[in-house]
Amino acid sequence: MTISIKPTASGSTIEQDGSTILTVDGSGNISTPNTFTSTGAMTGTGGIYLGGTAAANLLDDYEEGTWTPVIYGQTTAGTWTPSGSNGGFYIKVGRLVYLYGNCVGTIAGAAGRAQINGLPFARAGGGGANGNNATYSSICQGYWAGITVNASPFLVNPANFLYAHTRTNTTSSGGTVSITNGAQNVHFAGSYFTD
Amino acid sequence: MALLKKTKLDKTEIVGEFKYVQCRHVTWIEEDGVLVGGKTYHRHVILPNDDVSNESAETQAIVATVHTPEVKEKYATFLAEQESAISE
Repeated sequence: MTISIKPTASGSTIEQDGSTILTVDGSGNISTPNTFTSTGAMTGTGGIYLGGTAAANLLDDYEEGTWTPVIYGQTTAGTWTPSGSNGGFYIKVGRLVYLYGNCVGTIAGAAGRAQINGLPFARAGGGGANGNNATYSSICQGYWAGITVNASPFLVNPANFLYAHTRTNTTSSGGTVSITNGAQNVHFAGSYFTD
Repeated sequence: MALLKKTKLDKTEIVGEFKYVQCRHVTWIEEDGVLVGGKTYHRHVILPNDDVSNESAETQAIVATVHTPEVKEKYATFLAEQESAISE
C-alpha cells in the first residue's frame, strides 16, 4: 500500500494506491469519498448536514434534559404545590421538542382555564417559515385526574403554555376546561416546534 | 472521598419577538474535584410577564434588560389576541 500527499491548485489530496481518500481545500475543509467511522464521540458544534447541504439538511442541535411542569389557572394562577414525583423530560432534535410530563400535586385558589407552564423551550411563532401548523401543536394526554371533564388532548399555545381541551365529535372542536382546585395528577407526552 | 453535587446556569438564550429568556441549568457530581458520570440539563423559559424574584441576580439582570416596558406591552397585546382565539 502506498500513501502519498499531493498538492493541488488550491489545497492537497491524500491518496492511497493512486486513489484519493482525503481532500483538503484552500479553506482547510476536509472531505472524503469514503465512509468515515468513529468509535468514540464526535463533536459537531456547527451541526451536521444529512442528505444534502441546504439549510434544510442541517441538524444543528440535540439535547436531552428535564423540566418542571406547573399547573395554574388562567385568570387566577393560584398556588401550586408539587409532589415529589412532579416533573418531566425532553429530547430536542433540531427544532423539534419531544416532551413528557408527569404533573402531580395540589392546586389551591386558582380560577379560569386549566393550564400548565414551565415548558423547556419557547414554542415557535405561528406563521412564516415555521408553518401555521405550529399554532395547533397538540400533546397527547394520558389522563388528567383532578379536573371534572374528560379533556384530551392539550394544545400548546404560542404564549408558551399547555391548556386542556375537550374533543367531542367530528362536527365540534370541543372546548377548554376550567381548573378545579384540589389534587391533580396528569400524564402527557407529545411534541412541538421551536424557532 | 467527598461527593459534591453542583448546579449552575450554563446557557441563557433570548429568542423570538417577545424576547423569551430560555435558561438551562447543568448539574453534575464531583468526587474529590473529579467529574463522576455525565452532566444533566434542566430548562425553563421566562416570559415577559413572569415573576423573576426567585431567579438568580444574573438572570434578573438579563430579564430587566430585554423585557422592556415596550416588550411587555407588546406581549400583553399578544396574550389578549391569543385569548380571543382560544374558544372558552
